[in-house]
Formats: sequence, C-alpha cells, structure tokens
Amino acid sequence: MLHYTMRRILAMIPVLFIVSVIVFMIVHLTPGNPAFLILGEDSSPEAVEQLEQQLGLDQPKVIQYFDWLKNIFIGDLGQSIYSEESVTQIISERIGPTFSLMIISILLTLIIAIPIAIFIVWKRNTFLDPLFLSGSLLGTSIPEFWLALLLVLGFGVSIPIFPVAGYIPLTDGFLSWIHHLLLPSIVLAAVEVGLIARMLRDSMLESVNQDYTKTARGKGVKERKVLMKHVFSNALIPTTTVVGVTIAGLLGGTVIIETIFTIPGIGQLLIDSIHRRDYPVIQGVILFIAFIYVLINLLVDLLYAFLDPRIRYD
Amino acid sequence: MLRKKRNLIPFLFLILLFLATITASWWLPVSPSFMDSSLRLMAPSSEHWFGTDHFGRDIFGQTIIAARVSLLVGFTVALLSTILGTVTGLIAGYYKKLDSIIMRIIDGMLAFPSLLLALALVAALGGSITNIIIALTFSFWPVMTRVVRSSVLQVKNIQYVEAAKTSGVKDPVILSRYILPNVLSPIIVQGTFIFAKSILAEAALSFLGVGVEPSIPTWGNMLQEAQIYMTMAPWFSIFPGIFIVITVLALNILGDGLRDAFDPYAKGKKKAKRRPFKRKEQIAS
Amino acid sequence: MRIKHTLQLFTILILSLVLVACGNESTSDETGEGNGERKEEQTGGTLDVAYASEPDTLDIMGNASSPTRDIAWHIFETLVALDKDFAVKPMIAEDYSISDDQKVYTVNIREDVKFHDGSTVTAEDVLASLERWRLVSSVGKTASENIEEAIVVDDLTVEITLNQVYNGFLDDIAAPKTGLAIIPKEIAEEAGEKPLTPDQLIGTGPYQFENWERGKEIVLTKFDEYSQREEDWGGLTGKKEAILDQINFLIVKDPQVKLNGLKTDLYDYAQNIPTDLYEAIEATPNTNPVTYINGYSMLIPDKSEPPFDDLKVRQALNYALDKEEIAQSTYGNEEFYEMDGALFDPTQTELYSAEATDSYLATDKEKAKELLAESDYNGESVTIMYSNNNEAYKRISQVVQQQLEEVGFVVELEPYEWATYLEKWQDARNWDIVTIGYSTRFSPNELGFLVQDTGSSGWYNSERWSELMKKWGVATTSEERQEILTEMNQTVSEELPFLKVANETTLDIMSDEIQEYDAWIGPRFWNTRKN
Repeated sequence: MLHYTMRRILAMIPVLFIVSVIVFMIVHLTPGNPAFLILGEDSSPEAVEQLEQQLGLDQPKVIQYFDWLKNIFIGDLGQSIYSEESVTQIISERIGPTFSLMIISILLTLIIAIPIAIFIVWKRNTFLDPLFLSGSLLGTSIPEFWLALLLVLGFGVSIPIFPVAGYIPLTDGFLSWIHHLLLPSIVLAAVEVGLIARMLRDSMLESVNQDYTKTARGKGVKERKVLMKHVFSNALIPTTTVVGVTIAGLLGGTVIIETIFTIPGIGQLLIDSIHRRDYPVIQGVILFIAFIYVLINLLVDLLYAFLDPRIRYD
Repeated sequence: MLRKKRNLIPFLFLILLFLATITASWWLPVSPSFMDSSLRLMAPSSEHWFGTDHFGRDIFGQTIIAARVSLLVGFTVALLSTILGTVTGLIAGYYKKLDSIIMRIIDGMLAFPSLLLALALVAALGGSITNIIIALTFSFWPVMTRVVRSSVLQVKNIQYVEAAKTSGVKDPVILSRYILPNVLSPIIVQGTFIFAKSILAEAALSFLGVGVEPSIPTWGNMLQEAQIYMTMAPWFSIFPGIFIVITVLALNILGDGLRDAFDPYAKGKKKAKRRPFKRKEQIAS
Repeated sequence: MRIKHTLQLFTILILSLVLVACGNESTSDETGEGNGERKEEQTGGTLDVAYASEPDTLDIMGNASSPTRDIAWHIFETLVALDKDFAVKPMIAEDYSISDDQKVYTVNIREDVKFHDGSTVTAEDVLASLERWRLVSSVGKTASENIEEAIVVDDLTVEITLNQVYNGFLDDIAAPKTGLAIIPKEIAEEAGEKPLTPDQLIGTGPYQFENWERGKEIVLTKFDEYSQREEDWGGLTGKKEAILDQINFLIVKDPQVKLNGLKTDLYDYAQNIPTDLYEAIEATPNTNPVTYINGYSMLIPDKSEPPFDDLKVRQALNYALDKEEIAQSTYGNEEFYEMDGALFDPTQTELYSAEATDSYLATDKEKAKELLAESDYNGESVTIMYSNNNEAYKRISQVVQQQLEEVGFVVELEPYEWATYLEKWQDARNWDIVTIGYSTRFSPNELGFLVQDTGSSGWYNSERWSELMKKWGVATTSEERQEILTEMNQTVSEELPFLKVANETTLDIMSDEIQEYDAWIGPRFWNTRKN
C-alpha cells in the first residue's frame, strides 16, 4: 500500500506541473501586455513600466513562470488588483461556504442515487429500466441555473420553505447552516443523480452476470439474497470512484449555484473577479480548484486501492 | 443507426431546429429583434405563442433565432474537439513513446472542471462567439483524446493491423486506413456528447454575463434577462429553458443511442453495459 | 456486513434530513413570535443595505458618483447643506452673513463640532478643506475662479471674499455631491489632490467609517460624540440622529438576489430595483417600496474623436432615437419615468425650465439616415459603454443599439463593473457613447456632463456654454435665471453634448421593520430605526 501511495503521489507531479503551466498561460499568453490587462488599457506608461518590473514582466516568459511557481510553493498567489489583499487570504476566506455546499451536495447525491440504482438493478427486467435510462439523461440535460431559478420560484417564493439566498456559517448553528444549503444542494444533486445512479447501475449489472453470482443462483440461493450479498457489496467499491466523478461535476456547478444563491464561496469569488478583470484572483482560484480536484482524485484512488487490493498490482 | 425510433426522433428534432433557425427570417411574421414597448411582457397568445419580453420582442422568434448561436457553438466545438482529440488520441495510442507525454498533458488539462476552465479563458480572451468556441474547445478536447486513445489501444494489436505493419505500410496510412475506421464509433458518440455539453456551457457562460454580447440573442442571454421576471412573466424564462433542455436531451439521447448501436456488448440480446470505467472517461469533465 | 452498515448509515442520514426539515419549521415559528413581541420603539441594531454598485472611493469632495454619495453622506458634512425643499441651511455652520456688495461671506462655525478622530472643527480645518475642495471638486473648481481670498477671523469664524458677484457660491459649497465637506486640516493637506484613503475618511457625520472589505461590504458605525442639531429641516441638515448602531452596505449586484434577500430577511434595505417589479413588490408582505427622484438618464457621446466630434453625426444620433420607446422599454411602469427635456426636475421650481428643448423628442429616422450619409461616418463600429450594475443603463444601451442599427450605425456594447467603468470612462479611446444617469443636481455648476473638457462630459468644449455659465454666476433675479436656463436649453438642443433619455424615479425596497424612513433624493439612514 505504501509503495502504491508513493507511486500515485509521484504521478501527481507531472499533472500539477501541466496545471500550473495552463494557469500561467491564462494571463500570459493572451493577446496584449499583461500589465495592460491588469491596469487597464488607459494606464499611464509609468504605471505599466512599474508593474512590469514588479511582476518581472520584463524577464523572459520561462523565468517569469518559474518565479511565479516558486511563489506558489511558499503559498504566495499574488495580490488582488481590486482589493489589494493577498489572493491566498481571499481564497481561504471563501473556502468554507464552497466546501459546505459540496459536502451537502455529495451526501444528497449519494443518498438519492444509491437506492435508485439498487432498485433499478433489482427491477432490471421491467419497464422501469429503460424509463430510468431516459430519466437519467434528462437530469444531465437541464441547465443548472435554470433548474435553480425554477426551484427558487417553487420552494423559495411560492411555497417558502427554504431561504432563497445567503449562507450561514456552521459555527452559527447547524440547522440554519443546512437549511440555507439544502435548496442549492438539491439543484446540484438533481443534475448529478442521474449520472451517478447510472454508473452504479452499470457496475452492478456487470456483476449480476459474473460467474460467482451465477454459481450462487445455481446453488438455489434466492435472487434477492444474491443481489444483496454479491452484487451490492461489490458495487460499493466503485462507489468511491463515483464520488470522485461527482466532485468534478459539482465543482463546475458551484460557480453558477453560488452566484444564484449568493453564497460567498469560491465560485462567486471567481465570477466577481472575472467581472472586475482581477486576474491574479482568477488565476489563484482556478489553480486552487484544479489542485483540490487532483487531490480528491488521488484520495479516491487510494481509497479504492485500499478497498480492492487487486488494483495495487495493476 | 437512425432506424431505431429512439434515435430518429431526436435526430429529426435537431434537423428541424436547424432548418427553422437558419430560415427564421423568411418565415417569422415579425422580426424577433423588433422592439415595441407597448407589447411588453405579454403572456403567451395566438399572436405571440411564447409571449413577449421586456422589450416587447416576440419570445418565440427570439428563442428560434437564439438556437443559431447554440447550434453554431455546439457544433463547432464538437467538430474542433473531435479533430484535435482524434489526432492526439491516435498519436498517443499508437506511439508508445509519445503516449506518456501527451497523456500527462491531457491529465493536466482534465484536472480543471471544464466550465471553470472555459470561464477563465473567456475572462482572459473576452466574451465573443469566437472566443467562447476557443475556450470550450480547449476545455473539451482532452476528453476526446482519452476516448480515442483507449480505443486505439484496443484495436492496435488486432491481427490485420499487425500484418499491415510488418508488410511495411507507412504509419500515417495504418492510422488513417486501418485504425481510424475502427475507432470511429466512440468518436462519433463522444462528439455528440461534447455538442450537448457545449450548448449547456455556452448558456451558462452567457447567463453569468461573461459569454456572448448581451445584444445577441442566445438562450443563456435570454434566461439572464428573464431572471428578474421569474414571478411576473414566467413564460420569459420557461420557454428558452425548455428549448435548451429539449435540444440537449435530443443530443444526449442520440449519443446514448449511437453508443448502444455501436457497442458490441449491447448488440446481443443482453442489455449488460460496458465496463463502468470507460464511462468515467466519457462522463467526467 | 458491509451492506447492513451502509443501510444503517442511510437511515441515519435520511432521518437527520427529516429532523432538519422539522427543526426549521420550529425556528421560523420562533422568529415570527419574536416580531410580534417587540412592538415598542427600538434603538440600536444593525442595518443591512444591499447596495448595487461598489464605489471606487468614499471621497465625496472629489467624486460625483452616486455610490460614493450615498455612503459618504453619512460620514461627511458641509458648512451649509440642502434641506428637504432643496433650500440652503446651515449644517456645520452656526450661521452665515453676506456683505451688502455680495462679495464677502462670513461663516460662523458651531462650537464643539467633533471629528471622528476626536478633534474639534476649527476655522483652520474649514480653510484647509476649502483649499482642497478648490482642487479636487468639479464644482469647487468652478467656484474657485470667483474666490479672491479666504481668511481665518477667529477660531470659529472664516471670511471668504469673492472677486466678483457670484450667486452660486452657497449652492456650490452645499452641493450634495462634491460639496465642501469639512475634514481635519492635516488630512486635507496630506491628501491634497489625491482621493482620500480609507484611513483618511474622517468627517463629522452621525456615522463613522469602520471598515471596507473590497468586493463585499462597507461598514459604518454610530459616532457617539456626534454634535447634533435639533432643527427638523430634513434633507442633509437639521437633526441627524444616529439611532442604529451600525450600517452595513453590502455589495449585491443581482436585482433578483436583492429582492429575494429582502423577502428572507437577509437585507433590510435594497437599493436600485428594476421598476418593472414595482407591482410585485407592493403585493409582497413585509416589503415596502421606496421611491425618489433621481435625476435623469442620458447618452454622452465622446466629442473629442470621430465619429461624434462631428455635429452631424450627433444630430443623426438624436434623430435615430425614439426616446419614448427607450424609456418605456427600460422603466416599464409609467410612474417611474417622465419625458421632459429640461436640465432640472420640475420640483426644483427655481431651476426648472422646459423652454427651447425642441430637439429632445425629435425622432426622424429618415433624417437620421440622410445626415449620416452626409457626414464623415463610414460604418466604423461605435462602442456604447455602460455599467452592468445597473439594469436601466443596460437596457437603454440595448434599445439604443437596436435603434441606431436601424439607421445605419454599427454598434457594439461594452459592459463593465462600476469601478472599472468609471476608470475606462476617463479615456476617450475606450468608448464612443456612455450610457449613464446623473442624480438630481442643484445648480448648473453641478451638471457634470456639461463641465467643459472633462471626461465626464465626453470632452465638451463650447464657448457658448461657458459664457452662459458666467452669466449664471452674476444673475440675481429669478427672471434673469429663467432666461439663462432657456438659453442653456437652446445650447444643449443645438450642440447636443449629451442626449437626455428621461427623468428617472428610482425604486428601492425596504423591510417593514424600518421605521420613520425619509426617502428624499437618496438613501440616508439617520433618524431611522429598525424594529
């Protein structure tokens, strides 16, 4: 296990390297002088020159990149043009709401998706299966923001059982925390549930026809028991992978959802920074999210290997 | 492939939408950009099927015209991603030495949730249709590369490919004549999914106000403007929304149907699907 | 075994969700009861204001934008200020006198007026503030030309001597925007022409600046040592009691979020709501509309560069626009706009003149096409710039684009966030037309969109207008002033430095917990309580 873990961690390095190059490129390879991009087209030549020196823009691109990378390693993501605060500081203030939203959404997604998948596999030879297949496609075809608007109208305004905006930190009380997060999480979950349930169904169906299940059936074990004992328990392992996939979908979705529900998280920070052309913050946020994503995938892989030892020797 | 009713209906819908939107200026009774402040926010009627918006424009016409941008962006992104992804995927799958380099880059690109990457790119490039196409292509083609590569790995060692190799056929010929036809089906399937995802992504970008210029009608722009009228004039948000859903759903059903049609596992009577992890590659973005 | 555990886990999770749902019902009940109990008048408390645009500075002397004004009004005060009927009344001044030749103004300062840093306002502070005002304020610059000298008579008396009769002087120092705000001498000297930094935001107002988290909120707190007047004058003077302990100006752009946030108690007051929603708001329980006149919306062409340096193109622009259509599409509800070509609001009886505003509603598409063909305009793209924090300006820009393209202009829209927008505005290369509103002004000097050769006026440069401004300064009677106002209208009509769209009434909303709120011409939260 230790050996495998080391290997996986080492494999992260090239990925993170590419990630950093792409993030660097976002500002530096766009047409025009980054100093203009940062200061605005109408800035004075002196200001531009000063910033160029400050950012090391007069250096070759490669040197600039490594300087930037060096700063990242010491946790310095630069300074916001807009608020002049450090980007690391700004991001750290915004993590809480986003993580809260993600956690509730993931739980909600799994709570809904796993029973559905189990049920569909159980009823796999009925009309429910094709119905489910079409239904799961519908979920992925709905724009999150539109669904959010409809739900806000329905459950925030017409039947006001959920607050329509805002965020209460967990430290101010568990109930109001979850109450504020539930509606946005439902939106995020609604979009993910179809996909996740479908992946689970697929992996379970695969084991339905495996030799060991057939043997069990041959021995006269009841279908329900076969499903319980062999199929579902085997499907739990791929569920860990599913969590990784869910997070990918959710990270994209939070940007929109946070904006609609005014949750002061990283997604809203990104949109605000884009409107303000605050490039250091945009860079920082994108880098941070990619890093988190890579990290979560690593954890999922490790967990998977831990649960299913065969993987380690692949 | 299209013989199945399940595939035919969405296909016909997309064709119809395409024809409707490009010919809209000939058959729409009122120009969709015609503003008339005396007709603001009218509920759906026989004259204005989907009602009117806050400028008194006909929402039906707007919705039809808006399909242009969605279909244009979706199709172009799907096409460009397919070309880029196929070329890189073929190379990565075929040449072992290049494989690890290409795939490391692809892995790095896939570490970004695609919508976020597109957002950041549009922020840097500026919001315009061209830039959105560039940004979305950049976000989506790595998925295609992965799909193509894994398919190539499967067919690379098939006997007649091996035979061609030993008889001295040149690599480009092997790739285009022997391998490409064998991996075409996953490419088409994935291309359809990218088409669908690009439409959703474009709508999201416009909705967030970083997409296409607000004066160009797109479904995302319409929904953005309709937002404050959610309670007063719900038809303003409902119809463009439904069009997004139907269009994207049509593409998803089509992609799904094509996959089943191509899928050797699904060809038999058994409905058992393919290995789940391939799905991860196709779905994860 | 594993399955059992998993199933148990599900059960627990589902149960907890159900519990949460129930729990919420009980919490909302509690708040409902709480409201009923607290009926007696409350003091203290925090007011959460959802504010649409983040100001770029709170230096009200140098910045004439409404976001700066609305927040800075709570922090800074002027020697004399407008009352609720727009008449000039003392504020920091105890009283003032004007010499018989109308050239010497003697101002007595009230005793013991405290700055937020604890020091007391003296004649030295007033003089230093005046000097800075002459440098940074657009109104101050105009006034400055008429000032001969200003001297300290004693600790609480200043004497300002003008070099000629100039009747706009009191109006100028009392201007609600860019007026003569009194700040401590050291700060005035230290800041000079630069905008005040957050730690220099020291005034004498009922609220003091506490904190500014860029992109999120500006916090003001009650100033305990505020030296309060007792007169019931309203406007920006008289009794200004800080009843609330704290005011948070939260930056919230999205109108829907503001509306929903107010309904769900997230905010107490939300500024700038699209007027289309008026009826919906009236029908919403616990939410009250707040309306007040807020100047007018307009288009300002950049007159320093092609194509709009050419009067013919500006005329084509004017003929191309159907302003009634624009206004109706933008504001929807007729209660919220008025088609009136005058420079001031009809309620400002001394300043209002609608004579000679003929070009205001002159729509003629054919003529526009003709003029355009005669001009040097050859299809280059015209950039209309606006701030996306304001729904109205966005819509005006969209309709204008539509109407201009009908006559042959090629138009591009450029939205920016407020602070970025203001910055872009100062460089002519960034735009050809800006869409903007100017809040209610109280003298021709304050009409920023006509101040000669500045970015705000789109580099308007007209001797005719300058002459009129000089005449205005020395005019004494109402008749004379009316005559000049008519000539001003005539000039604007012919030279088209800006194109007025419509008089605006702004719609804000507030929770019914807010008591005794007086809307006047903009949000001010002194004398206001929250239950």
